[in-house]
Amino acid sequence: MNTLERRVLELIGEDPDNPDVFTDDSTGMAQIRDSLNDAIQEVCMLTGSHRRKFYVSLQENKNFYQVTSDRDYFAYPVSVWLTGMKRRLVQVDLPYLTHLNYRWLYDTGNPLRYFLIGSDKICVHPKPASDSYSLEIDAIAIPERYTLDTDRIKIRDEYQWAIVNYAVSEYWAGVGDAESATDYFMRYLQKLGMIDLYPASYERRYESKTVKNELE
Amino acid sequence: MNWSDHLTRIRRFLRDPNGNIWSDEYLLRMFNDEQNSIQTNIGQVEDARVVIIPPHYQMAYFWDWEWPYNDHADGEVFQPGYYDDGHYYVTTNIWEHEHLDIVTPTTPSYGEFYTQPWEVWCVSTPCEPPAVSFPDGFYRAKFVAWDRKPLEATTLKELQDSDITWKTRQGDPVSYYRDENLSNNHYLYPLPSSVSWKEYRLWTELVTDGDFNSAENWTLGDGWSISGGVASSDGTQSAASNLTQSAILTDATKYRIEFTVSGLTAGTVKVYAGSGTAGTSRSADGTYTEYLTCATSTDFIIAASSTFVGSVSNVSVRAITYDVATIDTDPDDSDYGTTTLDVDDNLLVIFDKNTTDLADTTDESVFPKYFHKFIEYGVVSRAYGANTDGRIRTLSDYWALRKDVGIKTMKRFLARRRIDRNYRLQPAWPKPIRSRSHPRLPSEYPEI
Repeated sequence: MNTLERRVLELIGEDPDNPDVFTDDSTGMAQIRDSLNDAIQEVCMLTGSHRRKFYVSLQENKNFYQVTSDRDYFAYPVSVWLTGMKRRLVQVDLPYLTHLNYRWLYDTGNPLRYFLIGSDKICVHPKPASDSYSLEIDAIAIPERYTLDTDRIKIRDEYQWAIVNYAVSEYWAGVGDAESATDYFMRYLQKLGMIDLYPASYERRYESKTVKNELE
Repeated sequence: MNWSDHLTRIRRFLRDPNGNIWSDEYLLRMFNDEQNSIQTNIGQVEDARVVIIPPHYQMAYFWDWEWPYNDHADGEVFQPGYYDDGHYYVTTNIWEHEHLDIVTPTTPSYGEFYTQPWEVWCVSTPCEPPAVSFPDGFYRAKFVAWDRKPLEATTLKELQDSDITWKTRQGDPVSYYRDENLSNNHYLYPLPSSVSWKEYRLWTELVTDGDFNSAENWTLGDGWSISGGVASSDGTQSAASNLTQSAILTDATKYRIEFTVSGLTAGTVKVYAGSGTAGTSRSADGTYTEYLTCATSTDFIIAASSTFVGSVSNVSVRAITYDVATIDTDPDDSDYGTTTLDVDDNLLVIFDKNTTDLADTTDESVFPKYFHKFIEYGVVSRAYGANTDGRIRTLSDYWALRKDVGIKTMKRFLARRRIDRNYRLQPAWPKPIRSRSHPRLPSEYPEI
């Protein structure tokens, strides 16, 4: 049981040192870990707080590459560096390329720019003339789910209470208490500074009207 | 995370682990609907694929009633011909409708009829432009290029207004159009006048004495003998027995193997490309062709079963370096980047993708894994909101809130994907004038 899991148990009224339901093993902690993992991934999506490098080997005459990783999920690039040429690639999009050169797929040389396709594909332009150099992609990553209490929690310290509240919220939803669940979820958003994602005033309708009965 | 994992989580959120209230089928339908609505909302799933020209279809059919009986589950199917609603006929020329109406036919045929789109490039002038099916899950195109040249999207109406010969015009395609949304069929304009046929290349013959005029290069197992242009097994072998040519193949290479079986009265015979890859056991006379990839050893083996009585002749083994059936058009492969996307003389399509409905417990959503939970929240909200014994309005609202926040989270996340872009504001025309004055030499100053 790691620190975050202990905090969750404390907030839901369990004794972390002698738990009744959420025992200190992979089966007992499965639900809490599931919630914490969801929260960690969501916080990283929102804040981009986990950053790491991905490497793609360029190959002759190939524009399109898939960014893969065994450890974390590639989210989006912050900068793309063409090693060997010591040059940053510029992010563009399809309309830009078509405007730049209608026959951009014919161009060959050292890549100057790139665009993204879907969640994990990248297209470079011009296509490499030979198997040379690699792309060093400095990117935001979404952490893989941790499974052991000794695994590293890839989240900044200031967000840890936020994800604890997230997990507590899911616990209360799981036992049928929607009010407590909503309350803790709002705490999660507040601690993350993301309450604007769901401000209560969005649902409020303002209107003015006369009350005729009172005039009589 | 597959559907089985999703189901476990959803049931935990619903507090219905045994499915007493919500059935698995109901939750699966909700899940498929939710992922579809999220895709419509945020448009995250994109893909890039190559579409082979000439296009390959699974099969063709003439009549609408044939559709349920064709192989549409395994690939795109093509419906050629002109259906005559008045007479319940499918015709191959438009003038046949006049004939059926007992009117003297006057409408000429524009060209030859075909039953599969690839046949278009076998005839001189096709009567109709052939359909090209865009990839599975295609929703809308973001970029289409033929032979590396971008194509413009157009409409049939615009083509008909601008070119009366649009049906038979041939040349380098400059645009494409889609005539209906029920299928993924698209049409190129003009029709490519030539295409690259994706035929495999056969290399030189590897078997020596495949005509069995000599036994010199063969190693004969029990029961085998070679005489008179055939290799025969007399059935005296006590176990399976091999006729072998050693070390003539290359590991991991694909081979086309042809052989003839004759005089078979008992047992079976089959061929091996290396000892690890067996062909089909043959139990009847005939000439057979097999495509096998060599594995384990590099021997070519003809294996008789313990009871085989019969002859084998005309053996041929040739390497092939291209296989239509395994052409790689899918850059989703994990080894993407090491396989060739053959964009020359083919279509490159970058497109928004529809989500694929999950059906089995091992199916996975096409969304990135970290998006999956937002789909689950929508399912739980709808399940709690449905008019069942499990209806709890407050919990339905809670999970709806979670989904709403999730949608906003995903949109914010996707917006951040443009974080590496450089933006600069400037007028398109005229170019910005220099606003700061710099010291200049007077115009009357002599040139240096």
